[in-house]
Amino acid sequence: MPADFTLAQHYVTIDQPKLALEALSGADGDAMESTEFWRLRALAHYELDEPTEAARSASEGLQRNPEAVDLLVVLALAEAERDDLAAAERASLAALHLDPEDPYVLCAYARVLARAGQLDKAEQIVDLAARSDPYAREVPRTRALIELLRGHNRKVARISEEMLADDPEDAAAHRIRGVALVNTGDAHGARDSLGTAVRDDPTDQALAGVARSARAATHPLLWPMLPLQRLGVAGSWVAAITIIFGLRALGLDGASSVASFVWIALVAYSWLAAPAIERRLSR
Amino acid sequence: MPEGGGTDAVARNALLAPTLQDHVAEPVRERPWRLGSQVYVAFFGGCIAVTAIALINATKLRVPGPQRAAIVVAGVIGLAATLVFAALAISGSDVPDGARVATQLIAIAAWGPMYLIQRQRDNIYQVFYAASEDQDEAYESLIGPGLAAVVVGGAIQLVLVFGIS
Repeated sequence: MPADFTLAQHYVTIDQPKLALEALSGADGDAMESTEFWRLRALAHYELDEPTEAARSASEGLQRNPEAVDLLVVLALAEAERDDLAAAERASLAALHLDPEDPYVLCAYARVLARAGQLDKAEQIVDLAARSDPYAREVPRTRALIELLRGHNRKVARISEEMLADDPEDAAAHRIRGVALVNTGDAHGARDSLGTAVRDDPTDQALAGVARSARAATHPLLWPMLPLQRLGVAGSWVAAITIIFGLRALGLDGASSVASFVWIALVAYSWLAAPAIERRLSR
Repeated sequence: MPEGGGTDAVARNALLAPTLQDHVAEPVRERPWRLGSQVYVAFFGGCIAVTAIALINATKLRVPGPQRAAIVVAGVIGLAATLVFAALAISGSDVPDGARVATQLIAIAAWGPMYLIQRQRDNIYQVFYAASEDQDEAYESLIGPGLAAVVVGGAIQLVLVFGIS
């Protein structure tokens, strides 16, 4: 069977990279000389978490067409996945030299910079992308990623909600909103968003694991922990110590002892109950 | 070309200058410890213990050198505050009520900036480098190293506190 680029593109789009590679497997000599073959092959390997093979395929394509911007972008993303950020930057800048205004190319470079922790520069690059095309979906996605890395979870939730207002089915927006809400301790919101993201891509085991944790956090047996999830571990400790020693300072030693007992019981309960419920949900 | 456009072009070119060419690839990273768990080390072990743990974790997270130095500075300031407090409040073997708690609170306060310094790199680890999104698999357990830090760091701090008071 000859290679079917249209079918392979369809499988890449719906996150079925193995089927995409199958659709490309019958490629003959002419097909293998095309940029499209190597672009689809590189994308499929990238989606399969095989960045070395993705980078090799992108490089093969670039030998045939050194000015293929799409291939340079895949090469940049694959090199970033291999943590070779210097090579990823070279590929990104080569793509930007050929197509300086493309918001997707700019956002790909911003992602490489974000990975290196250069968040201010990444944000400025995203600003360039937004000026180039204010409606490009990749712009708010990349902006949300940068804010997530900064720990600005409420801002991430706001950006992803704006994206969902435009497209309620945007799985990437559901996913990033879910992660941000996990971080802010909004277990119910996180469960809903991550559940939607998992339904869109049931094959993603890592995502399923996070969604399961979020679902476990809303289990009735863990309701006593919900206020502590809002505060986080450090915040909960500071609150507990303030209450326990505040009561003692006010001369309420009995109440302080009760608060200490409740606190220790909650900590022990959180250690035991949460993993048990997650194990039960994963069966 | 209008002047503003020229300025924009210069700014854009500066922005698109390479800044990652010195990056050393390290695709498989040692698993760090959870940041939130470090509060237990601060509470039970004090400033020396939590500084040691935060510093090792910052190295695992590839926190840049100047920020790692800031972790040490936060630890030194916390330890100095603990010793000043001990010199003022503790006399020989006479330890007033709440003195122990006060030193624990100082350690937690010193850990605050250490947490903030590690947080961004920890987020980067979670998003890009963790082999699993499952928190239990993505992070190393702090129980063993944390206990060791609490015992050793706590003992050193105790010796310093009673040595100065």
